[in-house]
Amino acid sequence: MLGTEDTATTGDGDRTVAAPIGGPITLGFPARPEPVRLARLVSAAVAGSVDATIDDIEDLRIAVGEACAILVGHASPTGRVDITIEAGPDAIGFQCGPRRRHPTRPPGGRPGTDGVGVAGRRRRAASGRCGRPAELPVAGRLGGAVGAGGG
Amino acid sequence: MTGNEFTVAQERSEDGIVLVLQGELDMTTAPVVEAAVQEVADEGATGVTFDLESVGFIDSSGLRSLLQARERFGERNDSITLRSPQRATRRLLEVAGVLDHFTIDTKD
Repeated sequence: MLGTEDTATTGDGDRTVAAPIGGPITLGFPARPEPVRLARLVSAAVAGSVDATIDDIEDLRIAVGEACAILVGHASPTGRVDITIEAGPDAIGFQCGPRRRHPTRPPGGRPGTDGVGVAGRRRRAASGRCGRPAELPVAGRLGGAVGAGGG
Repeated sequence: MTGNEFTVAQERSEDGIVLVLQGELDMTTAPVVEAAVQEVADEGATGVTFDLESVGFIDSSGLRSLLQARERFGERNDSITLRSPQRATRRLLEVAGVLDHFTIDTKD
């Protein structure tokens, strides 16, 4: 199980302490390519806080990077991306999506159409989970999830 | 430090042209590799070796740049050599099913 061991012994006999973070970590960043690396770093740090294997961590980095890259590629120039990463007892999961904003509604009129709208944003949200390969391989999916923290 | 400091150095050896990459190869840095490949192709090279010993991460954009290099040099499996790829890189190539598209030099 992930996250159940507080300590581990390295090959050299040194003891290291994994410090579970104890809750989801949410990161928001401008929808540009450069900060995607930061999201990968944070995901690796969250995975490293539990007893995830190196392959688990690498799988998570790849999944987070690819999901965020898709979102960045479809975002408006002023858009932002939110990602929430959580290490559970059996898996590490994440959800990411464009930051939701209140739809613009001109006085007495219909909601503005200057953006893609919540429905479009939902279509572009992504989520994934990483676990032990035999139990739960990387399974990113697109299309059904809501944005970070939204479901 | 959140910036991705990525460098490409060109070396010439008895095996041909070696591009030594350092950093993370992703959507922000793949164009640098593509430009370097273009440069060596313009010089008449028929293949290239990528030294990946100091590349800790490659995403799909980086993988695409490697596959584009292979395509540029005739899509032969021996046209592109990946030298000393790290575990994460090998895993990506395996998952993508393209590990056999390249010659892997582990440089023991």
